[in-house]
Amino acid sequence: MLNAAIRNTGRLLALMVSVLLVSCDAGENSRDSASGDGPHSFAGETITVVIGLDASAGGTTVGRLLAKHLEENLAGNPTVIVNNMPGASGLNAHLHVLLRAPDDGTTVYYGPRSSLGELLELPGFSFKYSQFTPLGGVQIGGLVVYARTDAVPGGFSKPQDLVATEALRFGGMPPEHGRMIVSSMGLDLLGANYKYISGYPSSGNIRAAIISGEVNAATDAAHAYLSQVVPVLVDEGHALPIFSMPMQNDDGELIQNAMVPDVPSLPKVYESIYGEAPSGVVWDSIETLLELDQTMQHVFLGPPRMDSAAAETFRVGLEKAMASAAFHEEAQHILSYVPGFIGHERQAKILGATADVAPEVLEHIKAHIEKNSRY
Amino acid sequence: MFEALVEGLGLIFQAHVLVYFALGCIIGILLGAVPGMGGAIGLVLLLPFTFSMEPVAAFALLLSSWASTSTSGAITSVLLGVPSTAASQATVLDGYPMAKRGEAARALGASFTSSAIGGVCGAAALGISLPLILPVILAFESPEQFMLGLLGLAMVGSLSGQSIAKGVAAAMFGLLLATIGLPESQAIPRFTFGTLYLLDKLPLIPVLLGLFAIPELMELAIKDVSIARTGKSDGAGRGLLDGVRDAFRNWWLVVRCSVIGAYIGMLPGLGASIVGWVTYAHAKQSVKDNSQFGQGDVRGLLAPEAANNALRGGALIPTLTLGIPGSVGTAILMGALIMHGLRPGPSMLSSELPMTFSFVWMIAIASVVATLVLLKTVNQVAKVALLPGQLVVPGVLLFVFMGAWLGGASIGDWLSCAVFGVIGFFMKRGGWPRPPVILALVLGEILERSFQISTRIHEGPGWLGRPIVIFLLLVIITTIFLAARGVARDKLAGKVPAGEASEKNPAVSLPISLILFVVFVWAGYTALDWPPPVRQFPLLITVPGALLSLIVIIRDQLHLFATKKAKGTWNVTLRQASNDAWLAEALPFFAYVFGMIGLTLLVGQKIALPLFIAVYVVRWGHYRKRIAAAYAIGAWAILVFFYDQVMSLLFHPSYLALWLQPVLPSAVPDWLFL
Repeated sequence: MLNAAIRNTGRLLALMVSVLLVSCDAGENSRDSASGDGPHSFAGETITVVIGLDASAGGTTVGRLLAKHLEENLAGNPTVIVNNMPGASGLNAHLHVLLRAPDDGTTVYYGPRSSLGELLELPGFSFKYSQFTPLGGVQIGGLVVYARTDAVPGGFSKPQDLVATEALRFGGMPPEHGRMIVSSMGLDLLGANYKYISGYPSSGNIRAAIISGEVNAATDAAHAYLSQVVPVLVDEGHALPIFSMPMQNDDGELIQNAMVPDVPSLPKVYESIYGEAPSGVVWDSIETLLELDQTMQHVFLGPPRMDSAAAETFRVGLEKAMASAAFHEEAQHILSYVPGFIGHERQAKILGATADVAPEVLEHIKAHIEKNSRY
Repeated sequence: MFEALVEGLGLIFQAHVLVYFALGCIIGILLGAVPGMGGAIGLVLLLPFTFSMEPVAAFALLLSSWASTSTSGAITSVLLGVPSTAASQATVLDGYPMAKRGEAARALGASFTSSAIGGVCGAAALGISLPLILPVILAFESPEQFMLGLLGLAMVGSLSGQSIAKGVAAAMFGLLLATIGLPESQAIPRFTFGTLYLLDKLPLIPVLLGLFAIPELMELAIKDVSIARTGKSDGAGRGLLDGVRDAFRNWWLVVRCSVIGAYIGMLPGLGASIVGWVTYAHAKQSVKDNSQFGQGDVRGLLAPEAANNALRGGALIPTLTLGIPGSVGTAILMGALIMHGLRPGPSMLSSELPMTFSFVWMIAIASVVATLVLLKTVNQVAKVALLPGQLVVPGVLLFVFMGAWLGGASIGDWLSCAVFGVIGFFMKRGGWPRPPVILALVLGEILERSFQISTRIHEGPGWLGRPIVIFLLLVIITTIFLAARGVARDKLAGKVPAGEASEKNPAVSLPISLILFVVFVWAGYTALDWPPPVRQFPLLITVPGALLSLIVIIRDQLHLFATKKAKGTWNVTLRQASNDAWLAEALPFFAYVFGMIGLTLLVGQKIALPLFIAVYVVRWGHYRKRIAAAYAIGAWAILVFFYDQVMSLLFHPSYLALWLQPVLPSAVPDWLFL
């Protein structure tokens, strides 16, 4: 035990010193080792990953982990540092990379993106995602919609019971939030009669409201559902999952979320209630939102005129990093799940998909937000 | 349960755990003393180092650092009038006047001892109530949270100084500030003037530092005195011992405030930002003679310091047992729990109870250890109060502005800090209380959110009939009554108010009330265009805000005319008012501050801040160039090696950097200056 303590202390101090030394060494680096002929290498350079979240956010932990593995997998083994720029819900970080980052790929954006914000022209979206250089995306995991067992008079034991209840109070963040739109549309699709209670600032607040019984239905990211909803609510018999949102694979097909294999996906639940596959404008809207907003939660973005060789090197390094056994092992340990990789071509397709949204789907999404905004 | 308590303590007393525990305490003490840092940033910095540790050792490192920051947070509040964290805001009110009086060592001794007692009492209160606590936490839904927020706001009465009307109007201004940005109900920006920066709401730390720190620093700069105005300290060991004795002499107040802190900590969402104010107001209302509050009454220091340490243990309970983190710090700790294979939930009160108790022990012991370490250093630290003001000001300004920068890495944070510095200065000189602005800014979002959720769920005001809501309503009415009675009594007794908001300068106060009136009317008019959930709260604020401002305008006008009558002419009256408010000296000071921000846009912080310090020390402080150069180099080293290399901060991408970086040869270490 003592040896372990000494070893850990030594490691801690060594890390602290190495942070200083490595950072000092970063000063020797340059930004202009441009592409030139032959394969690009980031050797001797420092890459700054600007994260559009605050330092304490869960997404920052993912970003820091990726940064560590990028160092090991990018050609030339550059130093990769992480800077947080959370202002204006991450929009400042977007604009920083869009307008101020050098073209050599030494400053890139990482973090959430909101294609929905672009589609709905929400405040602050003065840019299009297609202006950035796509470097790869990260799939954090799908969604699970769940409800308290006492949400249905007489008890709620299976998703089909939902249709019977008239007392569903769905706790949510602002109605424009992508996760909230798609989840509450899922309830619409199933024919659930619910009231959308907006105003909760975070998933943590919503979980608190579910625990106290203030609201009785909510949605959560699958990994948070497993680590925070299951032990407190599901294992104790206070809540049950209603459905999981399907995920899109690389071919655009909808598949069961592998993180929660036992939670039936929305189409399956629909089929079990109505005996047919879902269709119509509600389902079309959900499919659109799954592609636009739920397949790739986080992105790496480069500046608009990023050096093409540097961009390619970054993409290759990112794919290598996210495929490595070391990343998988560490992600499982630290995050309790392994984020999925989205290649840059698919990323570009998803980012550009806002332009192809059918008018009736767009209208439906707007009407849905309007409905959930009623006071 | 007793076995689990002992077992929990036993988990800490392992050699390797103690090593991490000590390391965490030291790091926490250091971080807590730097403005803007706080416990959450310490956790962010330390978390990666715990990945490979076993859980008890990892939490020894994290929790000891987290708990220690609230103990050392008092240092800058007392010595410089600069609240280093949100939890140490209220400490400024009486701590800084004590330092000014030459009692810095006593103030620090009292605050550290109170912190230790707070940490232990808070942990004890939790240990006792742990098995019963969950139903209490769960009983606090949105309606109860709204009433609790309202109770916090009712404390404004005790923080208002001589005029309740001014205090409430200032609180309304704080509430209005809280509505800036995107509301939780709908994505319609309020009062953002088209800027991206304000979309995200006004950040607390830059506003807090601007409102409190800059006016105090300016006073030092203008008066050209040391913090201890007497030029003497309260003696090496004597002051310190007096402070320790103060804490024990007022043990009942300290225990009460610790318990309040622990239980407020347990309720997710309220937390650190209000606990200091609530306990300060409680102390002021509950002591027999509160005439010295605001002028350096040690009890005004003991109350918030006890509470902000006790709060840490309380905040841990919903995080561990329900998986509900109530603050940024506890959210990080919950991430750490999951990372280390511990699942927040009821198991933390059953199979993992020893572990839960070990966490509570860690927080209690860390508060004591941090106190013992800090008490050892008090006599050295307190000497800062004797340094010449002109040497203190530029260095502290560096930490204030970098503290404001830490949260958002945006030049908007600097502008907020500077603008609220100007507002804070005029409020102080015009006899307007500043604490209600901050308290309301913190509470505004909670109040609006919980009110709207309550109304949505109950489809109207039906939630007002809930038992806890009615009980809290009665407490609020009593609090307001007691505060109003206190002010009325003081007026009848002809007591001259002192401390915060005690200055009488109607010529400065009148423009503030006029501006506030215009702001309230404009904000209310603007809000009329928004849909009901977006406009509801701004309208609820602006109508009484405008009425109260009008009352203050009338009073100020009457005072001003009375002053003019006494002085003879307007010319003499206004000149005297300007002299009293130090307007002539204040303008160049603000020119320096805004000049520094302008220069940062051009050349970046690593050049602008040292340059500002050098120029300030030579031109304002009249020191030799050699001293100025050494000072500037020291400041530059802090920026480069601490904020850049250790904290990995993103500095402002100046025009110089954008122009120079692409053309500089790779051998040039531009990170040293860009």
